[in-house]
Amino acid sequence: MRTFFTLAILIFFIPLKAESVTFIKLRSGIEGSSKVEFQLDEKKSTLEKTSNLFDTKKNYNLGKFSVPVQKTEGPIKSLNSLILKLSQTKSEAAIKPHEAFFILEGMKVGQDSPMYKTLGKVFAELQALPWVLEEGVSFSSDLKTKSVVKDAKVLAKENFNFKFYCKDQNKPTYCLDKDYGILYVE
Amino acid sequence: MLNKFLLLLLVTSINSTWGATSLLQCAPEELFSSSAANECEPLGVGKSRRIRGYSASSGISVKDHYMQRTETDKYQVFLNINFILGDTGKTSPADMMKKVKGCLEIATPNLRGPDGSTLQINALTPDEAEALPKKLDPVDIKIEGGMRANAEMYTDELNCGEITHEILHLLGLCDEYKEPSIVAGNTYACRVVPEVSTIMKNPRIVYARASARELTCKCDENCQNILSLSEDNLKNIYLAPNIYDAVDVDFRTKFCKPPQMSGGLVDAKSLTNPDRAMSLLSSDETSFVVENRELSPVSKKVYLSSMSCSCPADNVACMKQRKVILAAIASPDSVRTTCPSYTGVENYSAKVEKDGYRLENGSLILSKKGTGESFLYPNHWARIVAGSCSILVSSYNECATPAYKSLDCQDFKQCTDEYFLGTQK
Repeated sequence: MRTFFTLAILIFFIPLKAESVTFIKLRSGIEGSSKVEFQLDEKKSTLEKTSNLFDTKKNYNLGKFSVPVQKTEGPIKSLNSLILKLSQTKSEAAIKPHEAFFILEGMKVGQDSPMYKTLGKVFAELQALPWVLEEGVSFSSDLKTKSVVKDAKVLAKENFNFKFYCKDQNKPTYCLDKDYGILYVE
Repeated sequence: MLNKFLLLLLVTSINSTWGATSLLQCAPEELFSSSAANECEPLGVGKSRRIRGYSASSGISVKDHYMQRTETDKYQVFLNINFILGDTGKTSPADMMKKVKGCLEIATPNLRGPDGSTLQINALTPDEAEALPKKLDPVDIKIEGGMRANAEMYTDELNCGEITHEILHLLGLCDEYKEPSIVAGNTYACRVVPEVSTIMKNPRIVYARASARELTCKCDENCQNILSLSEDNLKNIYLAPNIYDAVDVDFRTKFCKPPQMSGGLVDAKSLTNPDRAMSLLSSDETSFVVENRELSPVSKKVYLSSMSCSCPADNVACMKQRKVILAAIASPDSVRTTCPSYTGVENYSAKVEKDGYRLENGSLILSKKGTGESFLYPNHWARIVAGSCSILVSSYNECATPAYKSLDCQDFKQCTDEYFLGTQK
């Protein structure tokens, strides 16, 4: 009975179609924080990526990306129902050091949570969309050049000083861009 | 054989503390709600204690382990580790376990307390742990490819320093590095970062510095030519630590400009300290300029460039790091800790008499004797040995508590290195 009332109150207060959903995957390590943040609403769908750590395909772009809103309708629906489920969870799961975890509308979900896999599926679905780099940096696949992108256009192209910006001279290693984050090179 | 013996010893001497409920975690605020009186008693010689796994909301979950005091100055810890090969991993669980055991065995002499007591950490496979009189919950650790290591996921490339760091997490020690993130959000901004290098701050550096090690590097044609030169200065410049060794990538990309050509190509003889690969050109309260020296294998001259770095005056972490970097530039080691080119293979089981190098089967082998320093500061040691007792090592608990907090940071001015970690002898 108590659960029913709690649920009813939650349903009353949480809109089934949220105006905006913030969905983040984060991991902190000695080399820095890797963050992929989706901001999804009816008008705009953006992705901010400070590392390529969570990429499933080789990708050397960091920064802010966009995709047509129609493409994110499905994932938004899934996330809204997950927000509801998460709101009923009494406490946040413990996050271990250096462990990747999700933050959905401010609620943390660690790898011990039964919700982690479900969120992972939505994350993968969102990741697979054709995101366009709007503002950030794009590195050539041989890591010899770095392009600065603004308004989805290449603003400047420069030689990339691998030795200076990357931890080791050989792969696997990671490179740091003070404005846009960490590039893992494998 | 030794492991089997130790296991037998443990099995025969586990005492009556089996049933005790212990709480221990990395960020220890929850510690204060625990602690039965007997958990705070020093572990007697020949006695064992089980520290039950505990998950805290704010940090690492300490894993189930046994601690045994075999002699007055010898402690052992037993962990049940279950390696699982992940989708992208290449190293088999058996090979990873072998690697972990090897690293921990080498680490033992350096896992010392302030009184010289040693801690031997034994990683057991679930099968080996079966021999224990009561179940020890396994720690599942996935093996993946790439660079995504954490306390419960290891990568194929993980080195001994990082392995030791991750294992110490399982025993309750917190991270001590400055979160170098540029992103907002959960960046652990409240963490207390010691000024000194520690195994929980710079695992790779501390492990490599303390332990005797040989590093086998690929030696290509240029390398072979340089090392066959008669001029010692040139060889020394090639083998000595340079600015990329002294100024880590996080610092240099944040606070330095990429090196610019300064003096062009010069004879090594014309340089001050001609056997060094870097030299301080200038410094003031917040900034410094360092000269980098690279050997041109064709002209056999030294290419000079300079890198300037500057800390914002209010950036305490940068200023602390600047001090450490200046010390490394002022008195560099004779042999670098990284290969001049390409990634090397570390060997910590080699016997090293003195720092140096040799060519062997076309490879360059860099040897370092190691400082022999303990990986553990006194309060690290005390924290591990105290197990689940919260009232001991209060200064460590106090300073480690914010390790995984990002918001509403309190002022931890009292957390000097000495207060937080104790004084290393």
